[in-house]
Amino acid sequence: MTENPSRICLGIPSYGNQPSDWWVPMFRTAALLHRQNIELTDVLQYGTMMVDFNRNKITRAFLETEAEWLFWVDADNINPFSAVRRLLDTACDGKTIVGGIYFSKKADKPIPIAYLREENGTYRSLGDWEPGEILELDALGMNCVLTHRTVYEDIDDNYVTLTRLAGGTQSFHREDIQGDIFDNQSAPTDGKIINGVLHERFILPEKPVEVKFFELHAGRTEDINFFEKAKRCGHKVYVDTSVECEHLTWRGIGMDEYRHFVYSPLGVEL
Amino acid sequence: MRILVIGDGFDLAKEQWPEAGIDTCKLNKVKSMPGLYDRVFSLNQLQMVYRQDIVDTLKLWGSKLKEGGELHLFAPSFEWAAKHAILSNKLPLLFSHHLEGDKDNPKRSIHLARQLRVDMEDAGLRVTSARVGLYTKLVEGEECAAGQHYMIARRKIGQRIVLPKKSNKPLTDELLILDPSKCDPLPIESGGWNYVLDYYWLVEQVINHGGKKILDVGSLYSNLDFFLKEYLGVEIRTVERNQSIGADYSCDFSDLPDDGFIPDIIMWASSIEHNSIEDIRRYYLESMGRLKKGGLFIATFAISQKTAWHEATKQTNLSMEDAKKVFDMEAIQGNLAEIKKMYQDNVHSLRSNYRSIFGKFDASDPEYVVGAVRKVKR
Repeated sequence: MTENPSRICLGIPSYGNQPSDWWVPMFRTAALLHRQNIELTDVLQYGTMMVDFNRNKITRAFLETEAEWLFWVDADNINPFSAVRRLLDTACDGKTIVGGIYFSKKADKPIPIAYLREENGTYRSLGDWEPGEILELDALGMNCVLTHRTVYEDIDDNYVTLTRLAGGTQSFHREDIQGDIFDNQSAPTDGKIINGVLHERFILPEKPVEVKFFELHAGRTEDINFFEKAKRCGHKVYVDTSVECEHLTWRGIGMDEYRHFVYSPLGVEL
Repeated sequence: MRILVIGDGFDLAKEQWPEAGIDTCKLNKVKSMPGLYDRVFSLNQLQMVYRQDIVDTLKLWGSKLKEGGELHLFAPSFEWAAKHAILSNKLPLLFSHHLEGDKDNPKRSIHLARQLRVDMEDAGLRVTSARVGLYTKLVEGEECAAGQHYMIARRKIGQRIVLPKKSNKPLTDELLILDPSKCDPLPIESGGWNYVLDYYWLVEQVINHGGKKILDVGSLYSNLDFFLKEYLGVEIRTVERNQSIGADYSCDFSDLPDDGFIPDIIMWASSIEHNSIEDIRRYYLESMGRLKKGGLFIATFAISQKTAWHEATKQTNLSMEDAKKVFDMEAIQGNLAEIKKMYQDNVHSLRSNYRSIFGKFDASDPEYVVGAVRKVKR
């Protein structure tokens, strides 16, 4: 007897063309999923130049499917064949967000794209771990991240999107909204920073606007915004460091480069 | 909550789960521990296992887990030792303890977390937590810290126990030779070469009958009993005439005291055969006499071409004709030759198991196969 297969969607925001270094392992991964008791429900892709827009579109499409899990693959990463199975196993105790580990693209200084939030709101990269550990963090890069649909459903339930009077939209946690929101009002302080407080006016949108799971905001990438929303809704973020991925430049940057980066200054020859 | 502590981790387990009932056993006694546990806790035991046996060892530990149960595993970290050696340019004090073994424990080995993750997967376990931390150990009077892995894993749901489906048909009397092709092995450890068939059929009968009080005759608490308790929620009492075995009733079945326990089911799991043919009949009749109306008598026993005493197993193998007479049945289901062929084809490893017990498996083997009888008290 075996359990029912886990149903997943692959979410691939991409722009431009991908090299064979990327799509060959991608095809192989997809082809092997059924052998790992994983049912690939759909491959969801969006390819504008706006990565947050792509991810939101993909997520909305995912929520229309019956898949339980959305597995994010970035168009410049190579993930191990066993990544999805391993992450599903890691999540079998109820985790809803768990990712693999990969590094920034600088071959001489590859930094883990896995972050801990500091008290001042900035993020620092994971610094010390043993490969194979499963760690709770605050944010990851979005490649090789397995997310359960409840993460998005909870964000959808707990956030609301308002229109910025000066243009654009932004999603807010409902608990952060106090007092009334008007559909058309302004004041001389709008857009001004007064005593260090930004007076930014938001109004009700003319027609309902979907919650944004991912937003580029305040100069930060869309993944940080997503993880903050997810954590605000009670979800925890884990990295399974046994799932090692590569980041493509003209070649894959991975664990080998990281080891050199860490140990070469110590005079250790690898 | 029930916890199995392998080796010396009792105090740590008690500290972590103060309300739990804790059984302990040595590394080489895990297999014989009956029943299933919410937690299996192993503190620095895996390093005592030969590298090539690690996956099988982990499988065994995993097999002791209930559905949803967790294996908590501590094992020395190779990464810690290696990093310590590289960075300090000397071997840490505990390195030899970690890596090279000592005279008391020559099998010691240490583990890479990533390799251990793969070993766990190969053993059908899902790792849900994996951390590295420090533990302390006295070495030559000095307290030393060393790195170790702490992993928590669950048994893969793919191993979830699937019980036989309850039949909608009313229970009738039945005498049959058990057909291996109709058996879907249950994860019950046993020493019997053919018990895979006995256990499946017996569990199936208990499910179909629905009785909640079982008298298991000729047994101490076996893994079958624990399985029935665990998964069907039945109350079981055991009878065993061998006084040295701790059953509920250490007496002959005929001498059972009247203490108010009235079983819904009397079960002889490959035990009634360890008697003469006359006593088999007598025990059958006494069993039926003890049952209330609607109660169930179930027994598995040995069937062969001819009725004969089988010295190696100290049992009477019944011919099909004699089985009918003993259990008051007019017919027996199953074709002995066809079913023997399945044993020869090694269905459910029956041929291999037989050979491991008797040291051979010739063209005419097995000498006997598993028969079963079900009688409903009218």
